[in-house]
Amino acid sequence: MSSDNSPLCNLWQSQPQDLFQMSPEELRKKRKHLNRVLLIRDSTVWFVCLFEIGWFAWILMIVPQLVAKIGAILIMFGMAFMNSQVWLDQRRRRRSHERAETSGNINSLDFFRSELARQCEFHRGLWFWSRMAAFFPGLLIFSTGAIVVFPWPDNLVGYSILAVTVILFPTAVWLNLSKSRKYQREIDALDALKLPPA
Amino acid sequence: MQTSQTPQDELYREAVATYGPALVRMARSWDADADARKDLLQEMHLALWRSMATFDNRCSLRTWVYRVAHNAATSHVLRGRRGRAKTFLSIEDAEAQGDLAARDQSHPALEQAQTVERLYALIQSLNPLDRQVILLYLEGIDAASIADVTGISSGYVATKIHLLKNLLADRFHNGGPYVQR
Repeated sequence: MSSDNSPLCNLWQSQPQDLFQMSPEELRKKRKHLNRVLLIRDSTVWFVCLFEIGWFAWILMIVPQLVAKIGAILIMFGMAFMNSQVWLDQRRRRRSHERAETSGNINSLDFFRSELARQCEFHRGLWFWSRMAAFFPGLLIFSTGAIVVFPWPDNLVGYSILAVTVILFPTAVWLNLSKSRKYQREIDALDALKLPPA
Repeated sequence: MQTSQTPQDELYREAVATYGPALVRMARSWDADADARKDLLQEMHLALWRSMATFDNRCSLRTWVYRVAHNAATSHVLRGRRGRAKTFLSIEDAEAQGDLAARDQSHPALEQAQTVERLYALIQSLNPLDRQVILLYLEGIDAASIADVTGISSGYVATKIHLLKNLLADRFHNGGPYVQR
């Protein structure tokens, strides 16, 4: 078994340590507990989604301007879309984790790579741009509408939302794309390890 | 109440009886925090127990156990990484860096304990895949089996082990008799 019985390996293997074991009953209980935690997490996403939609539905009722109403409706749709995407991502991640963590048929490199690829995809491509497209137009129209009806200096909130939106959008794009590039570099390094060294 | 043992339970017990100590060392290598380490160890055991329902002898039990434990640990460390924006090193990066840890060579037992602690610190700084390579090496697994568990080509495993031996020699040779180049 041993490829190298160096003193350091011997020292490593002979460390004194407490024995850790779990009975199958404890493991079944732990699995039930984990399932309950996941259910609560999923429910929280839906609760936040409903709260956000309710909040903008209330704004929709109280603002008289048509442009602001259109903006509020777009924001509601955008938030519902984003929440559904987050929920889908959670579900996909959970399933792939369950499959990979509990299968010895998936080697360490492939598992690590699939984790990085999933995180990379979250920050770029269709998955990322659809979130941006769903969220920002509504905010932009809503704040622009508020500014048109209540010009400076009566509508500080509208200007603030517009300013934040204008700054937030390119910042979000830059942050997400730089993160995805970082993940891609790690993925490329892993792919190289599958081949013999040059 | 006594619950009857399923084949899955039996396989799990067999795996833990043989590889339980290695799993404890692996968990300690992956997380320095005692509470988080205990959670990780439970996650590894849960993943291992669940995996035994699908164990089909296509690979050895040892390969299966190390893969399942490593995949559970990778998930654990990546979850933590998202919150802490941690940067991992490769064996190549670690070799290029100097060893800044102070060593006390006044007492052999103390020196042994310090050597083990420094090994854990080194492993915790590495990326998930290189952690697996160094852990399997320290557990005495041969290069071909390391390639099988990790999925890294055997050529790269040989290169990594060569670098690893140099790294361990540089960091530990002067501090005690534990490493041979």
